[in-house]
Amino acid sequence: MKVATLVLIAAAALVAEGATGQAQAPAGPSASAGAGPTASANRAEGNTNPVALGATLATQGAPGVAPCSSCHGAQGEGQAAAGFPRLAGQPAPYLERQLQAYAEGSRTNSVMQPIAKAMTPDQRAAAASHYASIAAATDTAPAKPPAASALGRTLATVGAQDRNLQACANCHGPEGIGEWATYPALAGQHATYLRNALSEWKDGSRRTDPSEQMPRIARLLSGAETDAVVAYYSSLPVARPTPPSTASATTQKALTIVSGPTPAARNAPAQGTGSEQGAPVAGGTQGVGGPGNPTGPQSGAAVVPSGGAAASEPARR
Amino acid sequence: MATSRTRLAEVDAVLLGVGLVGSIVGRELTRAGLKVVGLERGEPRFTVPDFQGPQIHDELRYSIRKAMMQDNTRETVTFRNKAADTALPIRRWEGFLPGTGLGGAAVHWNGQTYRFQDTDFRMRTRTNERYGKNFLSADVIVQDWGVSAADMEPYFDRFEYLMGVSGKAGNLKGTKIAGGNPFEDPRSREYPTPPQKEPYGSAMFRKAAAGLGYHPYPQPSCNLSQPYTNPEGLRMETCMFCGFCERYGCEHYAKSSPQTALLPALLKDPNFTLRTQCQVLRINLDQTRKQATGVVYVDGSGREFEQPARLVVVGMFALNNVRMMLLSGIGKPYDPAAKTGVIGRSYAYQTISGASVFFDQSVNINPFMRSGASGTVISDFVSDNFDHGPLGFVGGAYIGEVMSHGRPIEFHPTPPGTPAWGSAWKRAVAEHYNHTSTINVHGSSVATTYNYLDLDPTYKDAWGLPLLRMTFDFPENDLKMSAFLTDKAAQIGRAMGGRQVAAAPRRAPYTITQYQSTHNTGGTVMGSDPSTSAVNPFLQSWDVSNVFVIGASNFPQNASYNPTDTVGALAYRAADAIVNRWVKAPGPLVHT
Repeated sequence: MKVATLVLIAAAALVAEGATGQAQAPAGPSASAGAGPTASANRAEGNTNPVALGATLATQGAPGVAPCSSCHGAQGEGQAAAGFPRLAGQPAPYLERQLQAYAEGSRTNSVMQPIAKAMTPDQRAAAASHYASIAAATDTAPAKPPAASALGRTLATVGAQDRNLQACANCHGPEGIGEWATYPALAGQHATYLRNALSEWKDGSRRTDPSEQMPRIARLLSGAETDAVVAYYSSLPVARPTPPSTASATTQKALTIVSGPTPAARNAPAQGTGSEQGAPVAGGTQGVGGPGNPTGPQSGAAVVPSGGAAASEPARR
Repeated sequence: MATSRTRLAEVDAVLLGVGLVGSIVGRELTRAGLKVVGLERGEPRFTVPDFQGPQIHDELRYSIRKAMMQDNTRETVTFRNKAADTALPIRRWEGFLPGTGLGGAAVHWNGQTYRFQDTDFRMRTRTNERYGKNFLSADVIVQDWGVSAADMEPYFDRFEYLMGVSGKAGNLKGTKIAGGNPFEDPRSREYPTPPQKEPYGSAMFRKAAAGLGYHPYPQPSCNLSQPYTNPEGLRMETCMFCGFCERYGCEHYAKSSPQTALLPALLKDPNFTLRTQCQVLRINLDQTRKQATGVVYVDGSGREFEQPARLVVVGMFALNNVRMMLLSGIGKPYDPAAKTGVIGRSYAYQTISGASVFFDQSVNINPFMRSGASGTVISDFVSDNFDHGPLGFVGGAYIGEVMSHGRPIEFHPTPPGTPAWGSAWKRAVAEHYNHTSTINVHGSSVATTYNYLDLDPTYKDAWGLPLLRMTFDFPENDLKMSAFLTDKAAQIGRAMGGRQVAAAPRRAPYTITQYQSTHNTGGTVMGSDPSTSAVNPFLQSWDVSNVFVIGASNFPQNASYNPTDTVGALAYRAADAIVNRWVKAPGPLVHT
């Protein structure tokens, strides 16, 4: 039985190599599955310290690239009145993606587009890493934000059912702290910038959301509601999303299929060991094979049927 | 308990339960001009404010304490493995999770949306033709549904376009399409929206499965891949892969549910009245017991009402459908000794197992970045898509890398041999969390003479009515199927390049203390023979012609796929029969 299985797998692995690239396997979505954050991480490996390179760009610029700090401030705090956004502490992948978008034209700005185009991909990644590494502190006194209203808080935290509008907090986090690596922090961001950003979503000039959620949301907001949401987030204390704790989270092995079982698998115990009732040992509940991890709190929790007649007498109304 | 009962004005139709079935039938009936009252035992709830973050991502509240499920301190099910045992009440839902509340289980479902195959609908005929009449043991009940895939196609289409399903057709009007499911029956048009993005683990599965000669395709999903406006004029949005789908409501309007796909239209219709927190006690019959006159229910403040109605539509989830028929005395209860009667007969389930694929540290699975129904599957071993002759069982399973989450309380992958607790366990979880993929073997379930549902002789609910009693254990047929196909899943796992693959088939006895599936089926099955079915192929009671019973309780046996698409299509088919036939000439739609 076991021998037969191994032979089958070995044969199948040969087939796998032969079949690579054939039309039968849909290629589309998978190509992007592993790519995402990989590119920048790999590129950055060539530099001893991308953050340091980014710091140099920020303060000194490069040929055709004005120093970022001239607009975004010495600590990435931005400029409230001019609508230059606070960059400090924003997720590096988010910042890098914005620079790419400016370079490609899927985001428009007369100042940023020439700069982003002049930057190499390495420089964009480095600048993003630099600003992500700065603790988002209220290092300069922000301009006095407009007063937050109940309407702004409601839209940000609850949304509006009458037009299928979900709350901003679903993605941008409670109190606008953002979420690594995709969602920028909104808390303490300058009001003018936020208003401009919503305006770009609304008029379609910003096309960086493949889900099309942000353009829809911006269009659903009236002028007064836009002002209220802007006021709410710009009045919150500055916050930053928590970056992942290990660098390995941004590296990804290329999609390679090894032939047959590895030595570790060959020496593994017989199928079924460590599993209970057919449960996959890797847990998960619905969808991933149904049963939970036998050692997890759900299935592991001993539910002792108490029996007896008490069950027949739940609270009578 | 109320001492007096208020009799309300008669309406054209009353819906028992306003979940997926109730919403669909309610919409069709009110559109046709009928005055409809929907009675929902649970609470009203909507995307805003009820499903919004961060509270909707409270794993302890929703996954562990099961906030969206039926309150089993008021109503539960008693369970035993076999008729010789004494059944005891399920005091905490674990094995399966009956939902409650407006929108029903279609609020917290995962969104896996498959059509049952023609070979499922004609399973008895097909088995006899291909393997002979004596292929199955005498205690296995396999029946035809009384419909074909061609009969069902327009209704599948209708339901899928309501929900905006994201998928890839494999068979368009008989032409096979590369990249879709080559085993599906002909569909009249492409899915409303393209497939969701393929996660990394699913991509590895696709490559491995294709290499083994199988036919991988993207799982059809009701977590939408792009914005979609359905024929009701309601717009749904793009899934954000948040990893909180099953057991949760969707904050983004991205999961198709009654709340996103139907209720905003239905609730605006002046012909429709929704009453929540209304517990229906029974369906009333006239003196002939051939006609229903309405229902009796208790509202949230304990007042008792009679709601007269010309038509009663039961869509309360499979288990509750069966119980309502038994409590109302409609149809002959199944007697397992005499093997006669139909209500409660042919209870079946879903035979699920899986394989865990452990990769080395360089392979990042990112399990948290999933949607409820993202993933890649094969149907090579579904239904009768393979030769059962030498295998000695019927049925099958889809096999797929369809992980739906990596939530911190529930997802703790550890390889065999890891201690179950302590520092070594913690280290193993940390080491494997992001480097483990799971493969699901989603298997069918045959009905048998000894698995059934009836009323419990001892235990009662909060309103003094007998609980439903479940008698169930895995039939030998399904255990054989699980053993055969779990082995196939392990082979695919090895071909994916896992360092180690751990898999085990489903084994008896069935336990209600470990989550497996909420795909409870049967008990009011559909068919063409009143002696072996509770409802006719239009889901009309054979005994009381103004009662329609709709849900997975209609399945004569359960198929390999998830049931929702088929339930939705059956609801549209029944609504069509009601509006276009029953309303014009009330009475039996099928004569025997």
